[in-house]
Amino acid sequence: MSEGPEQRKRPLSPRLSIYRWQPAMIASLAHRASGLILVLFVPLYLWLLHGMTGSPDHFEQVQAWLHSGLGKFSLWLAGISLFYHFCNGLRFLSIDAGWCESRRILRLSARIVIGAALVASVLLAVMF
Amino acid sequence: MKLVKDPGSARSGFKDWYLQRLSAVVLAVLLPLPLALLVMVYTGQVDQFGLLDIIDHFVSRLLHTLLIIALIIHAYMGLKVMIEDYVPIIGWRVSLIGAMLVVMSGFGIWWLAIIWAWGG
Amino acid sequence: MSEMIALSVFRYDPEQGDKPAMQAYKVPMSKPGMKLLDALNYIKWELDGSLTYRRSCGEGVCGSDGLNINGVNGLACITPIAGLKQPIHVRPLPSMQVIRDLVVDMDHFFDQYRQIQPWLKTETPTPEHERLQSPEQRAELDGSYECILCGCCTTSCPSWWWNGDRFLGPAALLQANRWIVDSRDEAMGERLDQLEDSFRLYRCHQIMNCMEACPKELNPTAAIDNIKRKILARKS
Ligand code: HEM
Repeated sequence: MSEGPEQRKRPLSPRLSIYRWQPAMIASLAHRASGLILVLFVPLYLWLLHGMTGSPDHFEQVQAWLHSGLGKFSLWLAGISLFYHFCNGLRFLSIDAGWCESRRILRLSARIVIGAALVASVLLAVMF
Repeated sequence: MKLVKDPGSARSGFKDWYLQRLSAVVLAVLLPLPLALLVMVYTGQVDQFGLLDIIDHFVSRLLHTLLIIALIIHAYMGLKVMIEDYVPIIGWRVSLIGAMLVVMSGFGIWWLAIIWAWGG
Repeated sequence: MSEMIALSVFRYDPEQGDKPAMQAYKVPMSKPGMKLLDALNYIKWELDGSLTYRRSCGEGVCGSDGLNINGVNGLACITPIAGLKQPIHVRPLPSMQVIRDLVVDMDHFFDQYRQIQPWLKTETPTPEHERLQSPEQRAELDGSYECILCGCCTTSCPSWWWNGDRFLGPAALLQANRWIVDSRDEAMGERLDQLEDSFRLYRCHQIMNCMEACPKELNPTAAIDNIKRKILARKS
């Protein structure tokens, strides 16, 4: 294809907006999202740890915050993120190792980790 | 559209990938421990004295230190990949990765300070 | 009256310079087992001769009619109408420069194929007859040789969408692996050198759209992971 200098700019065909979401794609993006949430949870965890190892008053404050709505939500969010990231992380590691690499298993395992995370998120919400 | 100016292979990139997997294995083993502790504190099974006993124990300090190193490496490699994916302008990319490294090291040091109870 | 099929087809005319738009068509279901390409042909031959698309063999071998069909890439000629939700949305392969309607510029895609040097490289003297392979060695190429370079996988990959200028994409990497696992090829080290790059190879994040899109039911994700393991093996 000759690239004449007067060549008009060609439009880019649509991509993310039109592509159908399939389980493996969701699994990969959810891994990224959960990883990001976990990173953001680190400072919060440090703040909690700081409080819990501080004076008894400080410890009580942390306890109170943990049982507040925001505290519970944070724990829930971090909990399911970690659960999902853990499960799918092991899935990714096993794929890297060359196990479970058939098309069928790759599809199935994506469904399993997503399903398990959904179940865990409900369980975690009702348990605490 | 031939990429006449294709810079070729950097002949690197393996290390990032490898360190992320290696640290993931360490995290998979060690991370459940502090999580369980947090849950026990939350439910009241462990009070502050119990918690301090566990955290100040030498073995726990050692494991915690390993965990922190693995976590910082893992999170750094992970965010680096994400920044490389979504930030196309090289100046921004390098600046963000650098800033992230500084912030993360800061958190790592703070965390170590808590665990080893420096200055306290 | 025969059953009608509803389609919504991506249109772009560079002469008009307008924005691309979707255009609706209705096509009769002409035969059992009718394929999407038959419907596009009907539009072109009976309804609207200006519709432009690539096609050649019509049976999934040449790889020219890769399209985005209801959100997933595939070959129009082997995609049965029967399984598709209507209206059938037909778009060009994603994240490509559109030349006209469903025709996209494949130059960069083939350039990336060229970058992995898809030919047999040897150092040992050429034998008098051919370079032989045992049946087992030949079997190593199963899952690679079937690739027809239609571009369905590469243009389905979000990592390639964002960094396609540097990330080689699933098709080129599957082909790279094809030469790495070929018992006759003697340049594995050189090939791995060329691939070991955080953009060329390591942009793959196991999204697996490539595997879902491949009309030959190949597994580029596994091929890419095999390259990563080969690099791992020589580094540790
Ligand atoms: C519990 C054990 C963990 C395992 C087994 C694990 C496993 C993994 C693996 C295999 C990857 C690579 C994914 C890829 O390159 O496509 C990854 C990415 C990542 N992980 Fe973890 N991880 C764990 C814990 C954590 C924690 C605690 C954090 C946060 C502090 C974290 C943050 C991230 C981030 C930000 C990424 C990058 C995501 C991406 O590139 O899409 N991970 N993890």
